[in-house]
Amino acid sequence: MLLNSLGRVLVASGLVAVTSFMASTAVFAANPTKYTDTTISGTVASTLSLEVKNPKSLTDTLTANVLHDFHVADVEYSTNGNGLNIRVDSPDGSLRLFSADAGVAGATIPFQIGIKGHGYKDNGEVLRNTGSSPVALTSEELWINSTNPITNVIPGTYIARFFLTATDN
Amino acid sequence: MQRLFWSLGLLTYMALTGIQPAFAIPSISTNITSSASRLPLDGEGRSETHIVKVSTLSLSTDSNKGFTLTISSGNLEKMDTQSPIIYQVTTVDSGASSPSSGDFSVTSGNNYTFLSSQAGSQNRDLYILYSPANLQTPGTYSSNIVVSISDNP
Repeated sequence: MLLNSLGRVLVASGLVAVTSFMASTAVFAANPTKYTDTTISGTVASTLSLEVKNPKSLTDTLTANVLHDFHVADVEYSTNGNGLNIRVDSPDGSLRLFSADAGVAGATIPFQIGIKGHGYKDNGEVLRNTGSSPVALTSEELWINSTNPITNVIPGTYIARFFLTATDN
Repeated sequence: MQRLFWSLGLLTYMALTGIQPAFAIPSISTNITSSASRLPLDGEGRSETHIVKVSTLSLSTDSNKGFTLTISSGNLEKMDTQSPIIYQVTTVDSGASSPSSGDFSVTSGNNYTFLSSQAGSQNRDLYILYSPANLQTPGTYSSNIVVSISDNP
């Protein structure tokens, strides 16, 4: 009686085993696949560039009581990034023409600066923002104007200091 | 009755111990070239179409029906996925001359396949084709090419 019961249990186990075996076989029969990865990579360098070219001489062109606009130089820029902006900064805290002559301290002429077609700007402002696309090499005119009519200008040579900075957008 | 008892016992033993019959499995290994991690991407005002060997594949199978090799293609991308560079893939017999542009018949984003028809092993060179933009956004671009092999049914 005990042996008969054991036999039935083993028969049942055997059926389970056959089912399991067939399932395993089915898995292996379904075209085993092996995988591997090949990683590829490379780098594109930034071409962001800005250069001031063709500086103009402004000697003897300042005249009292006249609002002046001067084409002072050209700016040449490019980027392969998503556009760029060009900002102006003066180490003197504001855009001013200083007398370069000894003994004329304090004589200054304030001015604004701009890229032709994009308006005049003050110290710390962006002169040009090209948007969000790469820019091929481009040349544009850099202009300054005096913010007010110049009065009582002391004769002599005047200079100004400012930096132009190009940054990728 | 006793024979049936032993047969069932043997099957039960095989199932419980995980004994399974042996099947042939295809194999694949890759030898990635140094160019794969130094792809010329141009993009600094000029560009051209590049065809670069990125890997040599060692393939084999015991199946007398041969194998199917499958290779993915897609985009070289930066982390921000902007301005991707699409690439296509193809293979040639290892050591053969580089493929031409016309040999890249599978469009980017689709799987390239190569079939063998008999058991054995062979080596194939994996090439990619891509064309960056003249002004390509600066940064590091990368992609994973998934290569797989399976026995033909």
